[in-house]
Formats: sequence, C-alpha cells, structure tokens
Amino acid sequence: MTSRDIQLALQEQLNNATLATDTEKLVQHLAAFSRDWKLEPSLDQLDSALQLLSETRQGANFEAVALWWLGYIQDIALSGSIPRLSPGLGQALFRSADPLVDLLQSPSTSLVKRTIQVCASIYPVVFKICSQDTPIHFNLWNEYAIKIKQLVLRQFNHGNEGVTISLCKYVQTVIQIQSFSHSQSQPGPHSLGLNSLPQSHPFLSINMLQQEADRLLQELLSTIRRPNISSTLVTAIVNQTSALQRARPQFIPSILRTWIAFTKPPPPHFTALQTKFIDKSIRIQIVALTKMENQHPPQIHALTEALATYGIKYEGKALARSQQQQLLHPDRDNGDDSKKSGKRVRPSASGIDDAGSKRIKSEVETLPGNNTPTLPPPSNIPPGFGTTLLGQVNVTHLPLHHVVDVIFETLSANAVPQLFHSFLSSLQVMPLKVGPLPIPPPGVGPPPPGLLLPHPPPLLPGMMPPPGMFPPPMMPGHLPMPPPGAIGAPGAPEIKQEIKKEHSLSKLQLPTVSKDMRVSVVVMPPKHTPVRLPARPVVARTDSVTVARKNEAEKEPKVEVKEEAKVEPKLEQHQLKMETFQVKPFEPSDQYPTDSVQPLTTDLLKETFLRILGSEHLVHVPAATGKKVLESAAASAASEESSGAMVPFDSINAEHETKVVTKADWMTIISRLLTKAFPRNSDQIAAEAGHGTQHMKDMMVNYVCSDFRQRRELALIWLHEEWYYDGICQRAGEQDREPQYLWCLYKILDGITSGTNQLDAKDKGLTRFLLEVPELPEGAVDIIQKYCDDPARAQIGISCLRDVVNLRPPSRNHALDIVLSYTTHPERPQRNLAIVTAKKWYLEHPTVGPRVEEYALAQLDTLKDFPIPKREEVIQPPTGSTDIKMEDMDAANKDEPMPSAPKEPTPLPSLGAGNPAFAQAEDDVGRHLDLYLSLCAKNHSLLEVLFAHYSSYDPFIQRVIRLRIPPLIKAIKQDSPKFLALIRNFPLGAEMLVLRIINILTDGAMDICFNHPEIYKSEIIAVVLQQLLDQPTIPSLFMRTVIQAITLYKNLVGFVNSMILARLVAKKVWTRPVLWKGFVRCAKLMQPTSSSVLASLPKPQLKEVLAMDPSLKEPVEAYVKAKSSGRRVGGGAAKQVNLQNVAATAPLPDAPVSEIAEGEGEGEGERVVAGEEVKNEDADGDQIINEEAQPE
Amino acid sequence: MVRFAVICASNQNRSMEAHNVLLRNNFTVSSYGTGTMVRLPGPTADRPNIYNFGKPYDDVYQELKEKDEQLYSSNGLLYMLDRNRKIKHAPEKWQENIQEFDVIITCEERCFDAVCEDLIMRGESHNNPVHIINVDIKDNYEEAMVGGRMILNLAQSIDGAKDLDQEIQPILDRFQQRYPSAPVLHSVSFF
Repeated sequence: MTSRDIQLALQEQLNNATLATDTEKLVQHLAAFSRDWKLEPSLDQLDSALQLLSETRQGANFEAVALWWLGYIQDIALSGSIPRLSPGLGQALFRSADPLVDLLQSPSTSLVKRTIQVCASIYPVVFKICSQDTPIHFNLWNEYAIKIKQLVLRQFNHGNEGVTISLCKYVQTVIQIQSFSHSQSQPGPHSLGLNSLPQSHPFLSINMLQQEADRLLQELLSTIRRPNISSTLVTAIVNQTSALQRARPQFIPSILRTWIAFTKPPPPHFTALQTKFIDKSIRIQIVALTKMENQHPPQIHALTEALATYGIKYEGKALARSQQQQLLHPDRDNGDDSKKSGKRVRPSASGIDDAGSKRIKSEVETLPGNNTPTLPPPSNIPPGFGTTLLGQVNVTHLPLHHVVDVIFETLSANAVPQLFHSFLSSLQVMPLKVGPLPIPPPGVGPPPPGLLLPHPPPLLPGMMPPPGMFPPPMMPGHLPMPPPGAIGAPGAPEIKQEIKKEHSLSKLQLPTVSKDMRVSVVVMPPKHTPVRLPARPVVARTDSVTVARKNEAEKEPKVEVKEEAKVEPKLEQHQLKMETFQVKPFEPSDQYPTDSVQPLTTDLLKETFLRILGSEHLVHVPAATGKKVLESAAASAASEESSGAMVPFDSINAEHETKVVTKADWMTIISRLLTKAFPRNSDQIAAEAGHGTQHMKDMMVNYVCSDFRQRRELALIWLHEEWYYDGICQRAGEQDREPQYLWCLYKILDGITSGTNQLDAKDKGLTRFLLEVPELPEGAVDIIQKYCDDPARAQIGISCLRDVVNLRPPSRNHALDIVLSYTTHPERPQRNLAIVTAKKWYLEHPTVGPRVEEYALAQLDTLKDFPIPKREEVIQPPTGSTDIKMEDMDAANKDEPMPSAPKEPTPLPSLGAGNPAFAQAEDDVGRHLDLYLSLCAKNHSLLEVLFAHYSSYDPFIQRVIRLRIPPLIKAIKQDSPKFLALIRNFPLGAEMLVLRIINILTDGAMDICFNHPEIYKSEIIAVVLQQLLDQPTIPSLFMRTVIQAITLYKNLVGFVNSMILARLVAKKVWTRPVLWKGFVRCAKLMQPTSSSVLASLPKPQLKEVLAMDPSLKEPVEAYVKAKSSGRRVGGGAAKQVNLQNVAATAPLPDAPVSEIAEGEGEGEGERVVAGEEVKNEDADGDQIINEEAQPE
Repeated sequence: MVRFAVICASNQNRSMEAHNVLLRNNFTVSSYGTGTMVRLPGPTADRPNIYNFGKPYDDVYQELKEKDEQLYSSNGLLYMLDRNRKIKHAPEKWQENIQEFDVIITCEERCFDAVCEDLIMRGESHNNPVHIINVDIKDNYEEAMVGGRMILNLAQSIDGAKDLDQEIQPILDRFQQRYPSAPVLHSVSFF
C-alpha cells in the first residue's frame, strides 16, 4: 500500500464507522483504523475523527467512539513519527483540548479514567512544544497545564480505584516533566525536563513548575497513607515511583525511604496476601534501581540503607545474582547449608539447661548494681584503670562458672586482711550503693569450708577495740571505730532519731496492747558502749523496741489506715522508698535484767514477734516479692517519693514523725529478732516440748515453708543473720549458745523438699536459695538428692546440683559426685539428665571436665570384671530375631536423623523377653557405658581407651558395646581424622568392634551420596539409577535407592515413573520378589503419577499389586477411565509409555518438560530423609551382623 | 475486550497450554517467554536442546523428530510442539514485544519479577495501566494442564468484571481460596 492508499483506506474506515448500524461493526472499523493508522501515522484524519466524536455524542455508541478517539489521540501523542515541534501537532492538540475537557467531566468512570491516561501521555508533548521560547503556545499550555490539570487533580478524591490509579500516574508524569533531568538519568524520552526550559521563558517559570512538582510528589506519597487504601493502588504507585526514580535519581532518597518505612510494619488493614504484593513490588523496585549506572552518593546511600533492611550489602553496583535472589525470593532456600543438611544449630546440649542459666543471668543483669557502668567514674580512680587486658574483658560475656572460679581463686590466693583492706579502700572509691540487706562482711562469720584462713584476721589500722575485748557484737568487725571523742557518754546516747516527715502516710496497724501499758524490752546484754553509727547506715538496728500507749489519741491514725489501705494497691507501681530507720538504741543500764522478769520478757517477745510476723500483709507489695522488693527499694532510694507502709514508731509524735517500713525492713526486723531473741537451746526445747508448745524457730520454719516461693527472701535473710550471729558468738567464746544456722538450714530444706508444699518442677527458687545461703554443707546438698530420685522432679534436682557445681566451688566436689553417680542411674530420665549435664562440663570446665572423664573411664574399667549371668542359666529363645531398641543414650544427638539405623538382627542366644537376667545385665552394662560413649562424641580420641581394653572384656560385654555404639559412630561420621586413625591402627582383639564400626560407616553407600546433594545432584542420581538398571542383574536394594532418590528429589518422580518403573515392567520386575515389593511401595509413593505405569502392568500382576495395596485401586481406575474417555491425562512421558506399552530405551531426563530453569536448581529445596519405608528395604545385606547372629 | 498475555520462561509448555485454553475460550490472548533462550529437554539432563526465541515451533518439531522420534515422542515433547505450532508460529520473547495488554498472567515468580522489572525499565511512558498476576505452576505437563484450567478460571472472572481495577482484589481472593496451592502475586504497572 502506498502512503496515499493508506490515507484513503483510513478515511474509508472512518466513513464506514460513521455509517455503521451496530456497535460491533463500528468497533471493528475503528479498530481497523487504529491498526492501519500505525502503519503511517499522520494528523490527516484528525478533523474526521473529531467530527465522528461530536456526531456520536448523543448516540448509544458514544462510549465506544470516545474510547477509540482517546486511543487515537494518545497514539498521536506517543507517535515518534510525528515531529514534536511541527506546528500541526500543536494545533491538533489544541483542538483536542475541548473534547478532552468534556470527557473528563463525563459520568462514565471508564471514560474519565481513560481520558486521564491520555492527558498524561499528552502532557510531555505539550511541555515540549511550549518550552520553545515563543509566546504563541501560551493558549495550548493554558488548556493542558492549567485547565485540564486542574480538572484532573480535582479527581484526587474520586472513589474509583482505576481513576485514582490513572490520576497518580498523571501526577507522576507531571512531577517527572517539571523536575530537572540529571546527567545520570537514563537517556531517552525521560530526559525531557526543566533542563529544556530557557531561563527567560515568556510564560513558564522554572521555579514555580518545580515547586508544583515538589508539592505533587508530597501529595502522591501521602496518598499511600490514606486509610483503607488498596494494595492495588499501592503497587501502582510503587511502580510509578520506580520509573520516576530511575528518570529522576534525585528523588531516590526520599521515595525509597517512604517505601521502606511503609512496610515496616504495613498498615493493619492489609491481608497477608496484600502485604506480600506490596512487599514484592518494593523489592522489584529496589532491584531496578540497583541496575542504574553512575549513581551519586546520596542515592547510593539510600539504596545501601534500603538493602540493609533486607540484609543485603550494597556495593554501589548491580546486585550479584545471589543477592538478587535473596531480595526477590526471600522464602527460598538460598543455599543455606544448615537447612539442607537437615540439622539445626544446637545452642547447647539441653534446652532446660539453657533456660535455667539464662534466667539466672538475666536476673543478675537486672540487679541495680549492674547499672554502675553508666555512672561516671569516680574522680579518684587512676587514669588507665580498666584499660588493661583484664579491663577489656567483658565479664558479663564469660560463662558464669568461670567468673565464680576466678573469684574464688583470687580470694584464696590473697590473705584475708589484704582483701579487707582492698575492700575498705574501694568503699571510698566506688559510689556507694544503698542496699537494705546487711550482708555480713567476710571473715566475721565462720569461714566457708572451701576457704582456708591461715591466720586469724589481724586488726586493721583504724580498728581500736579495747584491749582484750572484741568489738561489740552488733558492730561489723571491719568497720573502723570512731575516735573516742565522738563517743557520747554512757547513758546519754548522742544519736538523734533521724525521722523524716512523710507526705503520704500509710500506717501499720499496731497490735492492740492493753491500755497504758509500758514495756521496755531488753534484747541484748548492754555490754557495749554505744557508738556513733557509721555515716552510711548499713544496718538497721532494733536493739530496743518500745511499745508505748498512753491515751486514746491514736485512734485517729487507725482511721487513716483504712483510707490509705484503699490507695495502696494503686501505688504498688511506685517503688518503695528505701529507708533505714534508726530507732533509739538500747540504753545501757548498769543492771542485768533479773531472772524474775525473764518469763514475762520471753512471752512478750514471742507475742511481739508473732505480731510482727503477722503483719506481713501490710508490707507486702503484690507482684513484687523477694529480691524484687529489695531491688525496687534500692532503686528508689534516691527518690523522695514514698509509698511504703509506714509505722508510727513513736506514737507520741506519730502525727509528725513517722518512719517508713518497707518489706525489707520488716524482714530484717523478723530475722534479727528471731535470731537473737530466741536462742534455741536443747534444754529449752525439751522444756517446751513438755508444754506442748513449739519453739519460735520451728514456727518460723513452718512459716517459711508454707509459702516458700514468697518467703524465700525472708528465709535467706534470716539464715544470713543466724550464720552471722553464730560466727560472732563463736568468736566471743559463748560456749553455752548452740550454733543455730545449720539446724535452721536443714529444717527449711527438709520442709521444702518433703511434705505437701513441694515446689513444682520448673521452680528455680530452690536453686537460687541454695546458691545464696551463706554456707552450704554437704548434708544440705544431700537433701537435693531427694529431688533427683523423683522422676518428675529430677530435672530441678539435677539442674540445682549443676548450679551448685558451677557457682559454689566449696560445695562443688560433693555435688559433682552426686551428679556423676546419676550418670549410671538405672532410671533413664535421671541418667540422661545427668549425662547431658556432665557432658557439658567435659572439655569446657577446667576443673570439673577432667573429673567427668575420670569418672567415665572408671565406669568403663568396672566392666572388666562385671558380673555376667552364666550362660547355662539361659534358655535358648525361639528362632526369629528380637528387635533390640537402639538406645539413644545421648540426648544431644537425639534429633540427628537416622534414616536407616541398622537394626541388629542378631539375637544373642540369651537375649529376649524370656531372659530377664540377661536383659538386666545388658542394661546394667549399658548404663555404665552411656556417659563414656557420650563423652566420646565430644572427644573422638577418647575411643582409644575402649579399643585398647576391648579384648579384655567378656564377650557379652563386647556385644553390648557393639550394640550401643552405632549412634555414636553416626554422630562422629567419617570426618574425624583422629577417629579414622584409630580405626586404621586398631589394637589386636578389637576386630569385631572395628568391623561393626566400618559396617555402620558404610551402611548404604548411597546414604553418603544423599547426604551431599551439592555434589550428587538429581541429574547424577538419575544417571546412576539408569546405569544400575542396565546391569545384567539389578541389585536387590535398587528400589530402596530409588525410593531414597525420589524422597530427596521430588523432581525425579516423573523421571522415575517413565524411565525406571516403566522399564522395570518391561524387565518383568515381579519375578524378583524384593524388587517387586519395592516397586509397589515406590509406585504408591509416586501416586498419582505412577498410575500410568501400574495400568500398563499385565493383568495378573496388576491384580497382585491391587491386592497388596488396595488403596492404589482408585487412582489406577480413574486413570484408565480418563484414558478411555480420550482426555489427555497423566504426564506426557508416562502416557506415551503406556500407550506404546514399551519401555523407552534411550536415557532421558525427566519432567521439567520444556523450560529448564536458567541457572537455578529447582526442587532441591526440601530434603526429607527416607523414613521407615526405606528402612524395611534393608532386609538383606548387613553380612557382618548376620555373622554375629550365629550362636556364640 | 480484555487483552491477555500469558507468560512463562520459554513460551513452550505452561504459557502455551494457557494460550491454548484461553484461545479455545475466545479470549484475546498472546503468549511470551521471559528467558534468554528456549530450552527443551535433551537426551540427557546435561544436554538440553537450546533454541533462540523466534525459531518456529514447526522447525523444532521437525528437528527433534529427525533426531530421535521415539525419545521425543515418549517424553511428550513432540506432542507439545505439535500443539504449539497449531497455535502460533514461534515462541516470542517478552522483552522484545511492543504490544500492550490489560492483564498479564505469569506462570512463575521469576517471570513475574522479569515482567515487572522490564516495564519499569521501559519507563512507563505510555501511562496505560496493566495488571500483572502470577500464578505459580510447576513446569511439567500435568501441572501445566491444571494451571491452564486455573488461568482460564481467572481470565473468566476478570473478563466478567465490570470495573477490573475495583474488582481485582476480590477476584484474586476468590482465586486464592479456590486454588490455595497456587500462590498468587499481583501488581499494577504501566506501559
């Protein structure tokens, strides 16, 4: 067709369209016009087209014509054949503006949508035309860039999705045109921008255009924050901004950040699917952006930042293929070995273990004292302190037991006086921490059993006890005595009651005491001279308690109590203010209390004690018990706000001067009072027993044990107090006072480990208690053993012992002995727990580890003369193999898949249900081996010992060893050089053992192949299967390998169906029973693909198969039916084979029929280790084991 | 009339099956491949038959038939090529196409990625929106056939929509419910 012919033809199409009677014809003519127009684009038909549009305006075909016309105008705008700057184009567009304005206001949304799209395509053309330095195009600009733009932007809130999508695209076009094109922008049509506008343009201002673009960009990006925006619109905007960023890289930082922020997290109204759509678009956008060349630093930075959120490092150039895969296909396995090998990384030998240590660690970390690093260092710390090698070690990262050991070593290497000295000097340097718990200083209590004190602590400078006198019992021995001048005269103590006014008074209800009663209680013999309290009141003193009541005036506070009580729960969030109260100390009198007042005093003391004990609820802060109370109290020490319970200790001045009593104070009061006021003497107990009354300390034990969880802290404070006081008395030479601490400890331990109030299995309270008591004697450790014997509580018992071994070196040996004794425990749960614990120490703990090995080897040694039941006693069992369950003695290895654990089908003549003696003996031998074998898994060279001693064992023992060793050998695999060397040079006599090991190692050479999918890819396996099939005799285990292959490589199913199963049919597989059995199993696994092959079996064999596995009947029937109905069913390959009923002979890969993925291995993702199905194929083989099966 | 494109990697199996099904149901449809070359199985896994896009289906059919008729008919290749040559002349590469569509259906995620990225690279200067939908189909005859049905179902829903932009989300939700095993992706891009 010549150019003229085309024009004529186009005109003809338009004429025909005008005359068309029905819409279908009209549309056909118009479509033909559009098609032909593209052959030679021109503006020649514009008049006719506009005429057609206006003529059909009122008609039924208007929408069809309008859509066509819009397409025609868009084609004109986009056509590269019409010169952009020709006067005709400008004219044509100017004339089209009015119809476009009309269409923009059309009631039809599809027309509005399409018009906006067309206007977006026209906008760059109009800009290009108007950018010429002439004023004649002002009207054109006015039409498109002002009138039409306004109309378009007015649609911003149009509810229609399509209109909004198109409008956003229009906005994006305007932004792109009205911004500068940078040198790194992609060349081409996108380079049209403000650059092409002369500064002196008669009617276009670069600044204003740019400002408008910036505003529109903000508007576009804020669109995505609209409530209930659809993912459709969001992906559209993502893609628009993708193109915009490539054309205008200066926008990359702001736009990219908007998107990265958008999905983290995505707005809540999106479904998971929609979120996925958006996320995917953003990822594709990033890939497209990384493919830009000549990026500038701000863009590189923004991209680096964005990619970092996806875990990808950006180098400023296009992403590597793997990185692109990682970004685009995050769900896929991108060569992560840990996934492929089916192993997971084990954080530690046991989960329980971990949970425990984590919890202890985290609790340690939350102690307020650990916050000290944030404090500015005190000025008098020498510069460079802490910058030494030791200073650079972050202690919190070391295993806790190492830290404990270091501390103990340091303590024992330094003389105690030096330590005191260091301690004292550090007191001045370190910021003092206010703590409510008076911790007895080292050296004043009895020395801990692990700590040797060569000499009694000499007095330090500053300590000035009167000659021949010990410091007063309440005075910690290490504290310097004040100069004599500071000491007030006896009888006139200088100490003022430092009582602060409190704003909120929550008053402790006082016990009701009879009117006008006035009692002075003497607690301590007044042997000491009152001294000034240390500047920092560490110890709260309750030497004297005065309960005073004179009149009815204190009824008022009672009312207050009620009011305050209501407020209290609200205030529980507030941390208790830590206060130490200093009650007027004991006023020494010259007289000892006489015996006549003793009974009264004791009774009153008891009453007082019980009342204080009964007031627990008043100081109890819900949800904050024990240590937490102490922590919160210490933390809020600095703050002035207080919400603790308050006790008006001085009832005379109760209205003004009151004291806060925190739970910590309460516990201190109880402990002090109990420790000092109620010495527990054997005589006295005997006397009390006579009266049928209980001693106060017994009561306290019961009290603690009845709610150990809540009162553990109280028990600890009390035990510290007892221990401390025992030490004081011991030094003071008070012979008549019986030591109380051990009695109390044992009583409490007894109480919580027996009886009804036992702790539940997960409670760490006992462990913490044992770790914190001041002294842990061996007997106390023995009490824990009660727990270990109870299967339900063995876990808590063993982990308790473990923590004692780790964290209390003085009690380590004894606790370790117990743990080790449990490694040979007859009960499996306890044994496993103990073994896991011991194994963790092995090679890791410098002192405990060697002892574990020593113990394991000693156990191995005992096997040398282990009592074996005599064979004569044993009755020969009936023939047939007895399965001996492989015992996975090592919990650490129990999730190692063992696809084809070789059974030991070797019934020793003596094994089986009928031979309890042998079964028992085997079990006994086994449990002595367990620890050793599990250590071998950690240290392969330890196996040498077993090899060396092997020949000296009884054959029975040897056999048990062979039975128990497979899991270990599987765990070691063949990658240990030490292990291989050991096998290579095994000592004489260990032949059977080595044979067994080699047998385990070589069990199924295919296993090795299947364990290395990176080398033995599915193609290679396929070729191997082909070759095996071509052997004159197909190996018996062939089907097992096939099943393993398809289990591992799902994509081999098609191949196996067409190339293996079909050929096996041709080879009359049913004549080989083992293969035939495997064939059926394999066919079942491969349903429904295998239906074609099954259908191709000869009738008798098909019957046999269906009898063997009736579940196959249905798919095969369905297949045959479908086939006979002529539909194309099943896989092409399978179908072909079936139709021709001959096996293909040429080797051929399988199913990815056409499109082999480029460079991507597919179908390697999941790797399932063949399960039981495979195991059963193992029926023949395993010669060595069969040998062993011979009666010995 | 909605203009459909169906796209897979080599424009042989999955996209052609869908092309076939849609064509039979009177849809306006084209098909493409996003790969660099057309790859077909060869005598062994490591010896695939590789062709350029544009090489007619019939040529490939004759060539393979000559090479090993039994092999290529037993693995179904000749059957597939025979079907293809009755639909169109030769496999087409997406990146070389200039036609515009309303809906693009890809059969694999990486084809979806390739199409989206390609449109971004083109610059989106025509301002015409297109819905890109991925329906994951495995590359074998059986799955391609099932996939073809799924795509037909999707195309019918799309064609029945009065306003596709408004209705695409519910359509996809329904589709995903009906075929939960074929994860979909959706994005709106522009020519």
